[in-house]
Amino acid sequence: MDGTKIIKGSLSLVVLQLLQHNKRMYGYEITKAVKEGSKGKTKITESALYPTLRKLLEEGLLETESEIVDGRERKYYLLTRKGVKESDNKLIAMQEAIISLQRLLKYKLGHG
Amino acid sequence: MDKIILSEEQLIALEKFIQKRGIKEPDVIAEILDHFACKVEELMTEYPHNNFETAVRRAHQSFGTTGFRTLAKAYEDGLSNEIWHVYKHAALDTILSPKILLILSIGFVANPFYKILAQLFTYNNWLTPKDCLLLILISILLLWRITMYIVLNNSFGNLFSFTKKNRPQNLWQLKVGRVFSLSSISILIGQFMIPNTFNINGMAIVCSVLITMELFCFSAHEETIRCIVALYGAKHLTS
Repeated sequence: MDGTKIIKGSLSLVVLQLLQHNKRMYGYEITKAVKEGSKGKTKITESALYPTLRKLLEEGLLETESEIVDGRERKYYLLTRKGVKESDNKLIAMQEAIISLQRLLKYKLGHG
Repeated sequence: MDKIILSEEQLIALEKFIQKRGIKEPDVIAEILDHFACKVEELMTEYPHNNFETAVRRAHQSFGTTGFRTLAKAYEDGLSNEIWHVYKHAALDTILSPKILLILSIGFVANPFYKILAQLFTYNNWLTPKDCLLLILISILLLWRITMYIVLNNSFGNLFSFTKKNRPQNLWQLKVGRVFSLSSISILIGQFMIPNTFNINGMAIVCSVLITMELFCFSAHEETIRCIVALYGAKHLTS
């Protein structure tokens, strides 16, 4: 099993964190960042990314601003204040989950 | 190598390509267009031997087997949810706004007005006052519906058809209006089949209530569309 599935399962967190570190990004830029950030090991498709962005928008974690770039409208996604908090919370929860998983994977039953 | 930027003609060609695949909503087209154009530009930069058409084909393949549909669906679902929220607020705003007083006053004034009209039209005793009243009601409702359709369609054409096509269940104001139109027709039929179902006062009250509800539905619906246009910009307005 490759890491792509695990990352895709945490796509909301990935998007929130990317936006937290880059202020604002557009859809294509996010897919590129995931690909480059994982050194080509992970690719997210448009069919996975856009529903996630929509969901985050509906939850009030993101907002958008549009600009004309290279002759076409480009929609940038930004974190709202609520989004910043949620991004931090999700990151802490993910780090705790990873630590728990690491412990679990090394767990040996005590005898006696 | 320098990054290739698509020309205006190439962007128009991409837009047509997207529209040909059944994507009609301006916001969805704009969102897909930028993503699609970025991909085409990247492919043309990375593989200079690729011509525009080949890059477009490859870029489209990268959207997967469902093409643009998943992206469009995500957008439409999100929009429908937002529309539903706006509807609820618009209906509540209409109830709480001073406009409701005007709507109720029209209903209140309409009551004696109907009775007078009914008496006037029955001067030659061709029809009973009640039959006249119902005919007036049907005519007003019909005229109202046509006006409402024309006003909404002319002012908010694209959005009106979009909301109607994608989430007809959300257009509850229109549904309620339809129920009232149907009930007035039922009363008319009932009146002809079983005379004296209602007396003239009862009939006038029914007419007033129906007209008031129609006004309320129209007002809430118009308010909703205004809010949506404010939220999504004027792209949905018919040019």
